[in-house]
Amino acid sequence: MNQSALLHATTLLVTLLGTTTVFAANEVPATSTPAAAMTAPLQAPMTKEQAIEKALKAHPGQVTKAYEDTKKGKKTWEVKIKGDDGKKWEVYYEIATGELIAEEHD
Amino acid sequence: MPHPTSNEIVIWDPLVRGFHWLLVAAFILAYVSQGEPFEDLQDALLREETWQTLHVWSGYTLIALLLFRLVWGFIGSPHARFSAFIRGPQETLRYLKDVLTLRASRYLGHNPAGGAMILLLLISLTATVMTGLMFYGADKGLGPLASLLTDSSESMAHTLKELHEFFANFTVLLVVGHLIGVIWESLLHRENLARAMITGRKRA
Repeated sequence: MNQSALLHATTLLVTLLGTTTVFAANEVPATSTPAAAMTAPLQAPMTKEQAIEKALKAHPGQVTKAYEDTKKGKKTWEVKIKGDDGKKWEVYYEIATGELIAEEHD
Repeated sequence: MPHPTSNEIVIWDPLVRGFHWLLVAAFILAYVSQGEPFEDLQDALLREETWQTLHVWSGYTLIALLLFRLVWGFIGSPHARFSAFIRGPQETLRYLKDVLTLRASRYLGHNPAGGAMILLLLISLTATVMTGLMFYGADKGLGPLASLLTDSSESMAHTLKELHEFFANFTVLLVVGHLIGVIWESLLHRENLARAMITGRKRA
């Protein structure tokens, strides 16, 4: 392979990586804050401990993981529970409001 | 690095080799960072948020590599071009039969079975990254497809997740087949094909 072909290909690879970096930069939630939420009184964000407590009340069992995640464009606490009912639960609470966003089981 | 012997010639250009090993690294990282069999390892080493970030970035790297390979398959060095190694089903099946009966001819570039495997791997990897990208948009509302898919139903997101996992696991199966093929051909023709993908050189 001659030098110009190598240069051409390297430029191509750098361009593609650059493109996907821009791609990856689009890591912001797609949904915007609703106007009602902006005018609502300020409240303390939900803590991870509060999320775990709430999730365990809804689905008693053993917490296997709890961490910050994004669901439908909202920052959430995801709590994974090995339920006493034999199901594996994933419960999502919005950090800003404490609202239940989703709960799923396998 | 081993010194090239006088009867060796360059078959795989540096970009094909770079593509191959970067693809290997990115796929392993993507699989390990979210694969269920590796949950204990994940918990022991890093936070879940970090694993998710690694998974997304290794996925984006795979997309870049697949786009590159698509272009290089048309304008690359002679042995890298799709036209050099994609054969019809009859020729591929005939070659597979020869492989099993230990009568397969030696090829400098990809043989017909290897070419078919590469095509399958590229298709399966593309399906894996596309369903992953769609799931990322539909479930989390993130990534370049978020604005199109964030309003998808839970069942749609679930289906995309299942498809993503299916194609990821199917790719692993293909990789196993690819490795068996490499070992088989290396023994059959008494040459180290894995080494050739590092040095780029094969016996003339």
